[in-house]
Amino acid sequence: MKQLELSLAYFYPTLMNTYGDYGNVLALIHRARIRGISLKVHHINIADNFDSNSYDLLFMGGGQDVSQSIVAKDLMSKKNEIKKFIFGNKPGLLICGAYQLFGKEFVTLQKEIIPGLELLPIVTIAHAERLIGDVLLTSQRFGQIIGFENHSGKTYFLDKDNHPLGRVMVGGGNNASDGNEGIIYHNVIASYLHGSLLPKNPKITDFLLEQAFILKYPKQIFLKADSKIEDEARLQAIKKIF
Amino acid sequence: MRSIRFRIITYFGKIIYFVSVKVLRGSGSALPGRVVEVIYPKFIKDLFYYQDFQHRIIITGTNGKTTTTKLIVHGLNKVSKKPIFTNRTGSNLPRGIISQYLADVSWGLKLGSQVAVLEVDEGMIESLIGAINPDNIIILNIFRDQLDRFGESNNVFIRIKQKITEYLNCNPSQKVKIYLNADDPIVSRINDNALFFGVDTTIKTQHITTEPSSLDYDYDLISREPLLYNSYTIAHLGDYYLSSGSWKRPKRDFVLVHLEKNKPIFNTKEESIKIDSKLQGNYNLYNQVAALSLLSDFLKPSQLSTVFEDFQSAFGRQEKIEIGDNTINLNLVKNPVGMVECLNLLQFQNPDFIIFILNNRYADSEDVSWIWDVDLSSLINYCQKKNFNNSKNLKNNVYVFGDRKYDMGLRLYYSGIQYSVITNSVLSTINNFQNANISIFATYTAMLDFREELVNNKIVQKKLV
Repeated sequence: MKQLELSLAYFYPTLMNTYGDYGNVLALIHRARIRGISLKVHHINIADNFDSNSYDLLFMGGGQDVSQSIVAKDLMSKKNEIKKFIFGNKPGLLICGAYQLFGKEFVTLQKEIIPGLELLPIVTIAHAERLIGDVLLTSQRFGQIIGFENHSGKTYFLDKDNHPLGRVMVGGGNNASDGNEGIIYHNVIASYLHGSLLPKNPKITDFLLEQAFILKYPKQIFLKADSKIEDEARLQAIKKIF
Repeated sequence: MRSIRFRIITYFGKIIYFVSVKVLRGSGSALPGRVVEVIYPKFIKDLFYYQDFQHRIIITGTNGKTTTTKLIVHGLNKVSKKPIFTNRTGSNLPRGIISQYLADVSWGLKLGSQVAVLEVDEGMIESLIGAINPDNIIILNIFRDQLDRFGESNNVFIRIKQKITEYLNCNPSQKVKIYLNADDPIVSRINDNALFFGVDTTIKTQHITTEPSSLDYDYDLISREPLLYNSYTIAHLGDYYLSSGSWKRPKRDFVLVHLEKNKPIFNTKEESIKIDSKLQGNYNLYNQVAALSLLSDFLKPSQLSTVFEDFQSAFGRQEKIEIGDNTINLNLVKNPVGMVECLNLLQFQNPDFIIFILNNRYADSEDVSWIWDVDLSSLINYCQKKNFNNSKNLKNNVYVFGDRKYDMGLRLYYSGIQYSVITNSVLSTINNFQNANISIFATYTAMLDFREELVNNKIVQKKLV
């Protein structure tokens, strides 16, 4: 039988990787591998071409302010292909800075408006105070979700019917007021959570892999896999939050 | 003349120090200073105002502060008859410096030191530089570190640059020497008129160019142009330039050249000096060149050559401890770049067992995300070489412990490294080994806990200083 293979577009691995988000890529590789799927990681850097047909999954992390301003410009040139990717229901994970950049706009402290990709129905407004600390969410689809947030932008949904990644039990979330954290839009998950997010939330890892898998291999079964090691780390982290 | 209030608070602080060390059996490196700081916030400023130091040397940066400080003190002790005032325990917040003063000052309020050599937390530079009023400043490097405490590293850069510029402008008459790491494109941007030091080495840190996660900077923070490199030493440190040609690594006044297996050679504008030293690893080359650059003002070239010969590593910095017939190599890890560099030392330490202790208390960084940015290549290679992952090998060779041991375990698991979880204590695990060489990689509070365990079992003496 032919080797099962999925292809991950890892956006700006050096520029957008300030908060340990590389762990998400390791988690995807690992949980694909235990199912006999080889996950090929392709770096998409500044000025690289991005052809949505070549990839099954998309990932982008957060970066420092300087990096983010450089990335924002470059992303615009890839907008049409990214749009095709998202509306083709391919799965993606966007963390922190990437979450903000994919929204409608970012309003700085000086009320300056930085346009976003306008692919997610959200808007982010800078605040002087940072939201920093452990976060615990609940979600019907994923159960308890844990992570660590560290952001000064507050993000708001533009459409009341948007689905958050989870409801905040502990922590600030999107904006510390409406109780939402992150967004699920088509099959893209965007969130402020580091930690990294995927290693301690294997259900989210599996969701992303499964969506990619059924699009590429519609006739095959996505295997179940245990998550004993991940769950130990989850339990210890949850105990620490309470 | 000291104010009455300062005198009373000093006596009061000394009593707290005495109680905390003798009665509560603590290390006394933070609590007494913290109490004094709360009731008398200006204490540290007044301390340096009243105390007539000839030289006030401060060392800051993300990695290497404690070792560099200790190297400088070690060197100055060879030529100074009076004791050097220094925060020996690596307690580098104001509370640590105050605690040290309370420990050292006599009941007659005499200190007897003419030189202060202090490591200062990079997050504290803003508040401390004006209080300490240094005549020598060393800045080692800026890596990403504890984002929940310090914020992003380019903000650290902006804050330090502003503060240093302000300080120099306010002190035009005073001669302030600034030593900057020329190989760090962030640090070398702090001041153009500084003295610059750097390292040339043929010993490569593994996988430095393939792993994106340990590189902090691709861009010059001032021009925002991409940085290009002729060579790397550690993470973003190396021989860099901008493609436009508008800027490159500054000319270096002091260079430590380390060619494979030879003794490092310290080059200044006038001299070329062979250095005797047992310190290993590229980051220690940086610590040594920083210390040598400053010491070259105080010591003769012949003295510099042997100055580090009898140097003992600082607490938890490649410190060696004997426990029964086992030898322990203690490595403090705090951030991705530092941990990658420490893991590179496995080839020298050559352990039979490896123990990782991960805590996430305030001083460690409460966010454990950073462990995912550590490139484990040298650990993976080492485990393969030693056959640690062989399933026929019934002995476990890699262990995890600490408040977040399962996070550490998961990190190892995702990189294909087999490990066991320590459920009782690190010491009892070590006592099960026989005639073994063990490397421990621990975060700051984990290191303190382990030290406490050793003290309680009378393996090491109480005092860190």
